[in-house]
Amino acid sequence: MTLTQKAELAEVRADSLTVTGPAGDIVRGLSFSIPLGATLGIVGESGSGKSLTARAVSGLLPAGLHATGTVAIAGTDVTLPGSAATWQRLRGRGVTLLLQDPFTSLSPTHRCGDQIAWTLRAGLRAGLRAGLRAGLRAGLRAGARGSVRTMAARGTGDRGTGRPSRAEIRDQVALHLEEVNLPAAVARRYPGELSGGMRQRVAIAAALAASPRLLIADEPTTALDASNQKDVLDLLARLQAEHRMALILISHDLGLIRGYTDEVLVMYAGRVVEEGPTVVLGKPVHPYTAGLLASDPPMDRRLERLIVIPGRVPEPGHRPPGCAFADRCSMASEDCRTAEPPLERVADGRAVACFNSHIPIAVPDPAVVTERWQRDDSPAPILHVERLVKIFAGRPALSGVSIDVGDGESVGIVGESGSGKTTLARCVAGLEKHDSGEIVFRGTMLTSDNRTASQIQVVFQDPYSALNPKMRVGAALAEALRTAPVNQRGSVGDLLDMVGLPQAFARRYPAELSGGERQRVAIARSLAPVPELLICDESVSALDVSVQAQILNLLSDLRQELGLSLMFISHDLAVVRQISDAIYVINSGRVVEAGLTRDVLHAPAQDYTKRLVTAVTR
Amino acid sequence: MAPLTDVMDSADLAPPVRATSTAGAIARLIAWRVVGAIVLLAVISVLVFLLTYISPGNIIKNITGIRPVSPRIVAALRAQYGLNQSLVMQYLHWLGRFLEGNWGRSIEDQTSVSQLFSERVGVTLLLCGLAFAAAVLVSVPLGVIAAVRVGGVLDRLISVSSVIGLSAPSFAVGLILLYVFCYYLPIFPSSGAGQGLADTVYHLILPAATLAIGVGAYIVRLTRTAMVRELQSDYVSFARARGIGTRRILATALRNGIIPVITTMGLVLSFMVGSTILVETTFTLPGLGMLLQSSVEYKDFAVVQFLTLFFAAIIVLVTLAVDLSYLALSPEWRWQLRK
Repeated sequence: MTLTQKAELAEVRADSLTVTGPAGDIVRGLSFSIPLGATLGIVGESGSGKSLTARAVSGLLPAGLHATGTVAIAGTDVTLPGSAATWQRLRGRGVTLLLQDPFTSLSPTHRCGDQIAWTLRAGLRAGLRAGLRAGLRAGLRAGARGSVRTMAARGTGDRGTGRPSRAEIRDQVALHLEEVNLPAAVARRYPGELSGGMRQRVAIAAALAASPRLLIADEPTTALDASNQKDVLDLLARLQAEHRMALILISHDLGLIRGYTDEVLVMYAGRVVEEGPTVVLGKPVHPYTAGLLASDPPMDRRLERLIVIPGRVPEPGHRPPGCAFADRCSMASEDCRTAEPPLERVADGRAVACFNSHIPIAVPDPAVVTERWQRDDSPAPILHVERLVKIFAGRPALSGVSIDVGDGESVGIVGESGSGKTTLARCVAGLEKHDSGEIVFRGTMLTSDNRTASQIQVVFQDPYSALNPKMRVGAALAEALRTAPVNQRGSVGDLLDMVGLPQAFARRYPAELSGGERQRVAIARSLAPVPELLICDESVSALDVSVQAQILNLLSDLRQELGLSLMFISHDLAVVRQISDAIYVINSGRVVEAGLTRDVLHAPAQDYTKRLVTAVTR
Repeated sequence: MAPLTDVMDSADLAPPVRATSTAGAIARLIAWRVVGAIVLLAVISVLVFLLTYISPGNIIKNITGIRPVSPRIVAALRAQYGLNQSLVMQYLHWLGRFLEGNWGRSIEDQTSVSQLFSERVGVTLLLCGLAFAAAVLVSVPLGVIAAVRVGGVLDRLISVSSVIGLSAPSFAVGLILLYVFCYYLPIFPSSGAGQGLADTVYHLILPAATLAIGVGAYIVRLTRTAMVRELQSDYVSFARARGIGTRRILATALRNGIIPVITTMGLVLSFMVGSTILVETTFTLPGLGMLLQSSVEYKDFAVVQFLTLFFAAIIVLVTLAVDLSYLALSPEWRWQLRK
């Protein structure tokens, strides 16, 4: 074996990877190499092509998309797209793709242990076959005779020679669960019985059961709470070192994964715009990278306005000539709109695709807001919730929660999933009936009979499922407007204007909008009945950081313009810092700490709050 | 995307719920269903009684035929069959005898309902069983194949044939089968139920095929839709992404996708029981369907009442079996049950 062969065995490589769809190239000319034991981060907004890159490298592109280029995984070369048989052989032991949503990536009707065992068995079978092939080759070369069985045994080494017994599989499953810090009893559980963080651990155990050389984790923490995010990332980092595998971490949040990667690749509209060692990317050269980093909200201060990257990622087939980012770039010059900047290596080991890479980026320094020193002691808050109790299936989701929202105030409700914060929002909004306690709105106790649309409205988390896909935006807004008091009824145009969307959007269907645009429509819809209190239930958590900043700015503006009161529910402390004057920290259905946002986040008094604050990775 | 559920998440590692509570819950479910079924059957019996009463025709005319009879004989017959009593009394008399196990006598051929029933129930049950087994065993795999090859030639072939099977009425299918396999290619008998099990099965092949084609086509389409959806789901992608073999993946997807199909299988079985009337008539099979048809025409009340209740009870049982199969197939339903 030559030295170069050895080097190839110890790395994962992709060369001029291109993914083509019906509308044109989606990913163009992507190349990277990762030594085993190292981590590559791929960062970009939705629509940048990062997920399709992951799918192409694991041979899992959806029908209708076509990949070209080559991929080499620990010595196995694949000329893309690669045959089904090639990928079937390579997946599991060569490459495994971990998906974003632990709530859907495991089969709901099979026990967790069985699902880990499937990977184990598939890996053993593939190992046996590979061993057989290697054994046959060796046998033919040496001219040796021997039964197929002994050759298989020789080829597979200590990876097991025959069919493992049930007990052996059970022990192996327990070991894999232990590796992800889960008790062996989880093997008997169905995914639906576990929390999101635990499910993602089970998924990681299942992904690693066949010991892949390359693990691709596509937004592995986006569906999780801040405290789980850090745990899962730490876990991945530990396992990567222990298994000496290559890891690709895909995320829209550069700030989040920065501490976990050796190299980072920043993608925009299907191309790499900047790449290099993670340490140097802290000082971005490409304006897009700078924008991504800057739109991450800080937790230690409240900014007057969050920095945003205006606009949206152009779709394949609609990309402008020249630099695809030019339309959103503050530094764009004439050159940028005519020619496409090549990816060129610059100093300190990074490569940038920008004509202006020699010009230092003017990092905007947004003004810091001096937060209020105390809450208004106005005699009548707009919302007063007194000892609210809600019981689900004999288990209390809320056990006596009391909160106040002052007129025009923005109040954050913070807690992990399962804390009861969403249940609180749903009870206040009248979507669930509380078991005891009071909800008083403007001095009137709310029951199921005396609610009107112009009191309280909700903006939900997922803008993809919150809008009727068969209804044009204009029709959806018009429908919502009919619930408004006649004398205050605006028009569809006013609503679109209010949320910063062009009038032409009234004719569009939700499928034609990006995630951020959909969330704007959802906000416009909840503003239609002119509510006094807007509940935002994790309304920005499903969005990219860049879009999240846009929506947070929009909510701040609306608050000022309309005098809205806000109840902002989130697991993300940094986001809450930017939008809320006061916060309530909720755990197991109880308020554990309350106060001004600044005070609580700077000097948390309770252990639970301290834990939440330290879990924030940035 | 942050977790969408809030409540479920708090399910930490609570100790597994003991099997006894699940068994208890299932027993409660069954008990409630039995109560429901009794109420349902009572309502049906009243409705059937009223329908027989208001439907056109006259039972005395059916007995005496067209020759003229004296009013004395008519009065005697009315007294014999209790027709001179009030409607309520007639029903209560029937009910009392029925609950004692005396199911009455057919007016038409003067044999007891229990004898008529036991002579004919075998053919009908065997017919339904064969047809259902054939429909399920052929249709589910066809649906899976179509879903795996979605958009391909095989998928289109299967989809088009299922539309044809779905739209063809069963008596027409029966007649076509009769022509092809009894007349042009005389492989199968055209009528009768045969002697002994093997011969009966042989006689039942064409009728069962007739019944199976329509409902089978329906199951194909449902299985295909369910499987196409499951095969696009994340857990299938993740299973493929970790090198799990095709057979295991299909089994997993089928396990998740089969639940809506099973609901339909319940409906299908109920529908099939109704269709036996047409099919038994087409193939002149001495089964319950033909018996029901002739006794409705004859206003043979005791027989109609008994058969209707029998079919209703079968449908109730099938529905219960479907619900219990949910519990076996879906852990989430088991959790629901415990709540």
